[in-house]
Amino acid sequence: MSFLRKKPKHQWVEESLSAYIDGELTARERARVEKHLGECQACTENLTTLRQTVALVKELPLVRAPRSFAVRPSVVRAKPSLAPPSWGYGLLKGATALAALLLVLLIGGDLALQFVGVTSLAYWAPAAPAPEVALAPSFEPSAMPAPAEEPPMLGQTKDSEAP
Amino acid sequence: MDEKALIAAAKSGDTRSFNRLVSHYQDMVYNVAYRILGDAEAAADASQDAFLSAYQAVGKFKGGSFKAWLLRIATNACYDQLRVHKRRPTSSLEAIYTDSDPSPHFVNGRETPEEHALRSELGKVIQQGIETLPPDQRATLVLSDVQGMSYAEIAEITGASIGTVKSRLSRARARLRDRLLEQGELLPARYRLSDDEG
Repeated sequence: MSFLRKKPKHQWVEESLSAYIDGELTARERARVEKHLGECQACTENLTTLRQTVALVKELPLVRAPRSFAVRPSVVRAKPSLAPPSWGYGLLKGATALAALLLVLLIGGDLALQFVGVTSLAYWAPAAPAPEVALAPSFEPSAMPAPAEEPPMLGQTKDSEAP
Repeated sequence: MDEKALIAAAKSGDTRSFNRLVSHYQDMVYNVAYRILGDAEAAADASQDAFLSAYQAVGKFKGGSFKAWLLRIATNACYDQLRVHKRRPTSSLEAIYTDSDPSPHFVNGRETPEEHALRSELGKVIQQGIETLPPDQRATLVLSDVQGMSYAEIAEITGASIGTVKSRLSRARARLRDRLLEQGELLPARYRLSDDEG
C-alpha cells in the first residue's frame, strides 16, 4: 500500500494499534504490526495502555432514559401531513393576511398623501417667485422708460426760459 | 417486537407503533447522547429532538438498519446540542454520580460500597475525558466503545469513510489514554493504567 510507504513504520504502527485491537486490519497489516511489536517496547506499552483504556470505556454503565421520549399526540397533530389545519385556523390565517394588507395600504396611503402634499408645495411654493426672478434680468436701464421731467421747483426756471 | 411491522405502521402515521419503537430504543439513544454531551438535560433534549425528527422522517426510511438510522439522527441532534451549549456542563455529572443518587446502573449486587464509590469516581474521570475530545472523535468513540458499533456502522451513522472512522477512533482513544495516564493518581489502584496490570 502506498500510504504504508509514506509514513515511518513506528508512526504507522502507533496509529494502527486502535484498529489492531478491534481486528479491523488486513492480514498483511496485522502481520506488519505484530512484527514491529516484537521489536519496539514503546509500541508494546502503548498497545497495553490503549487496550486498558478501551476496556474502561466499555465498562461504563448504561445511563437509562430519565423519562419517556414517546412522541406526544399534540406534537403529532401539528404535522400538516397527518392533521390538516381546521377551518378556524384557515379563518385566522385569512384574517391575519387581511390585517397585514390593510396595514400596508394604510401606511402606503399615508406615505402617498405625504408625498403628494410635499410635491404640490414643492411645485407651487418655489413657482411663485419665479416670474420675479425671470423678470429681473430684463430690468436694464436702457429698457426703462425715460423718467418724466420733474416739475420745476418754485422759484426755479428752466434754462430755456432763462432770459 | 416485530420491528418491520412497527416501522410500516409508523410510516402510515400510526403514532402508537412508532412509540413502541421509541420505548425499545430510548435507553440506547439517551445513553449515547449522555456520553457524547455529558449533560443529563442536554441529552434528554437531544433524545426528544431525535425521536421527533425520526417520526417526521420515518416515511423516508428506506430499510436497512433502523438502529443505525436512528443513531444517525441522534448523533446529529447531539451535534446541534453541542452547538447550542458550547460551555462545558458540570452539574449533571454530579447528579448522576453522587452517592445520594440511587444510580441503579452501578448496583450489581456483587459490589461493596467501596467498590461502588471507586467505580463512580472512575466513571466520572472517564466521562470528563470523553468531554475533552472534539465532537467528531467523541461521537466515534461513544458509538464504538460505549455502543459497540462496527467501523462500517459508524461510517454509515456519521457519514464518514471507514478510513476516517479508523483515524478518528485511533486519535480519540490515544487522547483519552493520555488523559487517564496524566490523572493516574486520581484513579483507584485497580483501574490505574500501568503495564504491570496489562
